[in-house]
Amino acid sequence: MNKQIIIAISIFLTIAVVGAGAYYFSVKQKANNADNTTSQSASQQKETGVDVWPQVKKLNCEDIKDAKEKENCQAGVANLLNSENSSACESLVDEADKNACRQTYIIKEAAGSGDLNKCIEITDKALSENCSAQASFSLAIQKKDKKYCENIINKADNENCLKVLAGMGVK
Amino acid sequence: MVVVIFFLAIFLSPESVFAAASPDAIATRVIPNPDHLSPLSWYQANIKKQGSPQVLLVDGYEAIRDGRTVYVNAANIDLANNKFYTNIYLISFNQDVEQATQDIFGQLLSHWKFNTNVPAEQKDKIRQDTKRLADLAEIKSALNNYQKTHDGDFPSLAAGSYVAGKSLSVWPSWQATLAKELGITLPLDPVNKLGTCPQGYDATTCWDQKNKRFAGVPANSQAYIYTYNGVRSYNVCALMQSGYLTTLDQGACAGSAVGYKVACQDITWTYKVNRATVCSNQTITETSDCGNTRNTLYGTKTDTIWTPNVNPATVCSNQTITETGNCGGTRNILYGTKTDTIWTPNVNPATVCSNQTITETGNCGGTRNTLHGAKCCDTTWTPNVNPATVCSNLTVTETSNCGNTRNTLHGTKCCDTVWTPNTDPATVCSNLTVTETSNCGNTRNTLHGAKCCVTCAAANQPNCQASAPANSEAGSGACCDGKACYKCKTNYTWSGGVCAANTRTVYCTAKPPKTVWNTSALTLQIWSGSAWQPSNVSSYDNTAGVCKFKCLAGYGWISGSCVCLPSYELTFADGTKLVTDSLNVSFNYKTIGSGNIIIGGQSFNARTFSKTLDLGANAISMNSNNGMCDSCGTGCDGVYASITVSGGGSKVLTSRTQQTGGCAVATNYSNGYVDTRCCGNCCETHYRTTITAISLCP
Repeated sequence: MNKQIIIAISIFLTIAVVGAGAYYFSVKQKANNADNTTSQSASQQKETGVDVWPQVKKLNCEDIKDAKEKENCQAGVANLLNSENSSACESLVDEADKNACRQTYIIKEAAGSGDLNKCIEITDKALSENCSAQASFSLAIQKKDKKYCENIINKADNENCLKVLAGMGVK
Repeated sequence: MVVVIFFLAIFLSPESVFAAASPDAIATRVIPNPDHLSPLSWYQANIKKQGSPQVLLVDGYEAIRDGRTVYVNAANIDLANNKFYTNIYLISFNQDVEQATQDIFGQLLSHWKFNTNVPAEQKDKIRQDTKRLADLAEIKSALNNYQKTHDGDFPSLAAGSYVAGKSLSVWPSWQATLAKELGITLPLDPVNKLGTCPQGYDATTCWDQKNKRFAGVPANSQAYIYTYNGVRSYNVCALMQSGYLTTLDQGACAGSAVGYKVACQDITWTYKVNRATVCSNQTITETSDCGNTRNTLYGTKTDTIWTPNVNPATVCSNQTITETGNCGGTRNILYGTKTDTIWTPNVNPATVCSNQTITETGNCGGTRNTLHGAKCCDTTWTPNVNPATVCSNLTVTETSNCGNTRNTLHGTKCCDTVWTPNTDPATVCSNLTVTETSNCGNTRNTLHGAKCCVTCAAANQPNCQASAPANSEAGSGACCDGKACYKCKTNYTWSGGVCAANTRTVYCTAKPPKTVWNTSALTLQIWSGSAWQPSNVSSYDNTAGVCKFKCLAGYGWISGSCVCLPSYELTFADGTKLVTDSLNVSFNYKTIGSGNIIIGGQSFNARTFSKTLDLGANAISMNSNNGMCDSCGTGCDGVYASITVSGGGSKVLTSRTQQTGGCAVATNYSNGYVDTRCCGNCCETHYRTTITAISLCP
């Protein structure tokens, strides 16, 4: 009887230990898979040396505590915001981030073409004005023309626009 | 005179052609004329059988011809003694001469020359002085005749002349008084002219008629002067020109020319020694007829005795000895007897190779070659390395028997020295290599392409341009056709034919806590040439702008950070909200009837009032129903009760709207509901609510 009890207990303990161990490694693996996407991609970038960045889910990297991970996030955001077209914005999860991202391409397009009417397409008035202000600043620098600074409503930005042009020798 | 004799010798010589052809003769004779008579006077005084002589001139001298004879009164100058003589030169021919002889006589007269020993310019003066002496002789003759008839006295010229007792041939008294007194016509001086008379005196006579004074005889005067010296004494003289007649006894007045000398012309030279006794290189002194001497090489004697200048035993046999003759001549003859005894090498034996001879020169100039070289000379050379291991264009060092070294071309190994390209370099780009094959068959690749190929071809770059585009710099690679390689500067991209400034979208730098982006956390930057603009540095700004953030609701920007403000959010029962920075709420109540407004269980009957909400209660119930609609009328539109907060917001509590035909009445006094009642034509809406106030700071 005792022997049977001892065997049963031993089998139980063995199963418990093995189960506990399996659970531990299972949880740890999940954690690694979930949290280290950025670092894995960063490693991949280092190994290949090509312009491959981790897929960015959000624009704001400020809440990331780990410095390396934050750096990778910021690099990914920079890559996202400066890719060939706005389709890259679709990888973002948050709709607000998507809109902000898309808007940067509209601003870039307006600044590149010199057509500020593209900013009008933005329905939100504040964002439309922001688009116009940023595109105007870029146009003022490109064309060395102060008149574009007048489109900048923010007084500090307006003064900065004129100051930069003056520094470039534009009278 | 010599000339005359010469002519006579010719004509009168027995061998003369003339003499041989004709028996005619022409003779001449010289007779002294110490009284200096004229030819005519002399003729009259000395010729017994006189004819009718004719006057003529021979060589400028007075002469007369009487038939076959011509008498010439001419001067003879003794230059050695400075004497002036006059002679009568007589030339004549025999009777019945042939016409030819008469012609010759005439030619002799026309070519007869006197005074050939004096200069020509002096000869005229001598002729004139000769004439003067003849004239003085004539005057003296007249005076002697006068004396004979005037008691031995002479014309006194007491009157009739400028100066008593004196008359000049240039004065009127010469002929008018003196000649008249003598009874003849007096001769005049051949010149008969006074020199320059002083001012105020007559130019011809030198007589001052006004003051009755004679200026005296000026220099260079030529005239005769008669002077009565007192009883039975007189002087008559002439102002002579030749210089040989200077004294009164010679007939010369004071003032005559004095001291003319003619240089004696050395015509004849004689010597007193035998020329044969004088060496031909020695001079002989000759003396002239003027007494002058000269030395001329006139000896005829030559060297006959020769004396050696040195002892022949001291002279080498190949050298000459100079001998001097008894007349001083020299000659060189081979006379030395000396031979070479001392030999001197021409070079230092130490500088001559031991296998070479040295030439020595003897003290008499002889030479000989002897083996005397003492210098080691390189004759055998041995290479230091095997020439087969040295390239044929490299030298091999050899060492001589004397230990010296030299480099000579002795390598025999084939080494690559000449390389020939396998393809024409002109067809290969300059950045590509050309394979060359050497003279030894080896190959190599060198940069030898000479073809211009464009290698400046970077993507999105200006590349080969004729001039530098704006915002570009030198690129890498080659261009042709005078173009240069360019690339856009950093942060510029070649687009649309220009280097356009790059743009980028960046995330603004982190904003501080309790803030929110005014519009966007992203900004578009452009490269301004020195920096990315605008800056993505975040800054606080309530106005929308680049990287501008503002504080969260309930927070304020104080000292560089957002701090919590005493802000509250009032939430009404219908969900609308008001934010106020204090709990002091003002109410506006438009009293319509007598009812009061009840807030928080307190009834207020005032047009306006304020109440500090009790935060502790955290909720305020408000009922604006009381007292409403007790009177309806027209024109009821307006707000009758409202709540206003310090933040500027307000909430209408009771309002009326005119509505014809009444309105649907609804009654719901539950909190947060509205009851509507009809007051005549007005619909009055009451809002019953509970206000919930919360602090906005977490």
